[in-house]
Amino acid sequence: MCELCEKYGDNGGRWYLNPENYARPLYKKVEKEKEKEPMILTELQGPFYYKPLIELKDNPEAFEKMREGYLKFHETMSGQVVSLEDAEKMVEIAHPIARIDCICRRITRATLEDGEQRPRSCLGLGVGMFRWEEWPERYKGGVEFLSTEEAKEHIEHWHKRGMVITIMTFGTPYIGGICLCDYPDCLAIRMRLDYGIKPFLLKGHQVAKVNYEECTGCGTCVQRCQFGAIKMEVTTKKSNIDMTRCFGCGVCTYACPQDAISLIDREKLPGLKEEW
Amino acid sequence: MIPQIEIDKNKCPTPYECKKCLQICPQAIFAVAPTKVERFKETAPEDYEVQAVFKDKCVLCMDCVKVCPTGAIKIKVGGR
Amino acid sequence: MEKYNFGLDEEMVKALSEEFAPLNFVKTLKLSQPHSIEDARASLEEYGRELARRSIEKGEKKIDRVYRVMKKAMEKTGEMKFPFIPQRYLEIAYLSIQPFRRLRIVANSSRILSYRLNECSLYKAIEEQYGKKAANKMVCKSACFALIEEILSHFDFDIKPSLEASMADDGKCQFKIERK
Repeated sequence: MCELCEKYGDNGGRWYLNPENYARPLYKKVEKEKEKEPMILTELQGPFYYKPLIELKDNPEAFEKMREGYLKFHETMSGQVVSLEDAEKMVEIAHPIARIDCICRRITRATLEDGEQRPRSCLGLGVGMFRWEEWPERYKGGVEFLSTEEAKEHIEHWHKRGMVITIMTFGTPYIGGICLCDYPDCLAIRMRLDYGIKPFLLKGHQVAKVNYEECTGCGTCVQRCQFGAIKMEVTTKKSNIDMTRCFGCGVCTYACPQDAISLIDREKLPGLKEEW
Repeated sequence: MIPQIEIDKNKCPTPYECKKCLQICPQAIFAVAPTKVERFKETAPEDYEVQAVFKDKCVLCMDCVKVCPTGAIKIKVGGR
Repeated sequence: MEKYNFGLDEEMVKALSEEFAPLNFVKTLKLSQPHSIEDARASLEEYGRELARRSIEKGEKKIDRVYRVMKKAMEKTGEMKFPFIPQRYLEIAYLSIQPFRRLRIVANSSRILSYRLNECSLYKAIEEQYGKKAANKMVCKSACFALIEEILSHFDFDIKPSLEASMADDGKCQFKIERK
């Protein structure tokens, strides 16, 4: 079973569909002396935080040892891939929902000042959005509140263009965002795939499977997979998905012009149900 | 061997505004981030810093060195 | 950028906490006398309702930045009046009379508003004044129910709240306001 569902799910349900994991008060009584708390920069410095680990990449023993600490840290900041269908259920629960600039992309590709055309793909969730002006640097570019329907349209728009839907906690299990992610600028996908920081991004509750009857071997899906899980099988002229590598994002299912790929429940497959 | 990639902050005072290396890198190894953050304030452009982070992914194509308008990027391979 | 105040108006919370000081109020209940429980229930309801009214009255005048941004977001999206308007006034009321720094919100979705009181000054005052047995009859819940119902009806929500856990049985109270 998914570890997060086990700990934070509501009676065996998916943890991110449990309203408790979105709940926060609007106010707190002031504590004067705490007013001047220094800002923790981890989230805004993103990749800088992982630099010491990456420096050790060609020293496997030291790398493994240091990685332990990072894995521990990510128990408080965890993520998971979700399907479009589940993301649409999430925005029915989460309030408020606000469109913001992707913090990862801003850091790795400096897209923030690319004007109106920049992909403002992330959604911030929860009452923290009401107090964003307190830390303008964190929400640089501002926040734009969306209705539930607008949020659904937003997610669908980017997902159908090839972005992976992920969710992120800020103090697990509190869900603070729905991100529309794109390797390599997405730090979560990158740290999971390239450096094995598993709790930063767990695989989703589904996996993609090709229906060989329908697949025409056009290869469209291959271009879209961000996880390196799809290739064209030259001999059969069909697309081949390695389900052990698949994160279940569903991007390929929308890319396929034949509707030949479907998402199936991970937990129904004995060989994959412990693979997150 | 992981290459050593140093960026001279003196030659690169406002990396966010230039961002040429960040956008040209085929391996997206760079990151630009604020070095300080204050309440009710956007960080000044000079308080941003660019660093090479995902250095193990660098393929030494030198595009960043070529594109840098001030020659701020120095790349060395291992101890060689 | 302008420095906004995202917290509740301190004067407002202070004034409410003086006006509705739980111990002073509980002393008037005369719970030690037989047959007084019905009277006490009525007084508790009145206390809860009045706390709601005064919280709304003062809270609508003292508009902090969170409330302002929240209202703008509601205007733009046409959503979120539930749960955030009732939540705001419940928080004002509870932060005025309770010892905790923040109200433990269990759920605040478009369908459910639920919160938990791990400690309660009203329950504690009854226990101190009249003993554990009296407190465990949970007459105090009348105050919380009246508070919630008054806030809901003031903002035109026709919803009945429920008590999911109680101080007497579970060592905490949990209220749930669920839209049909």
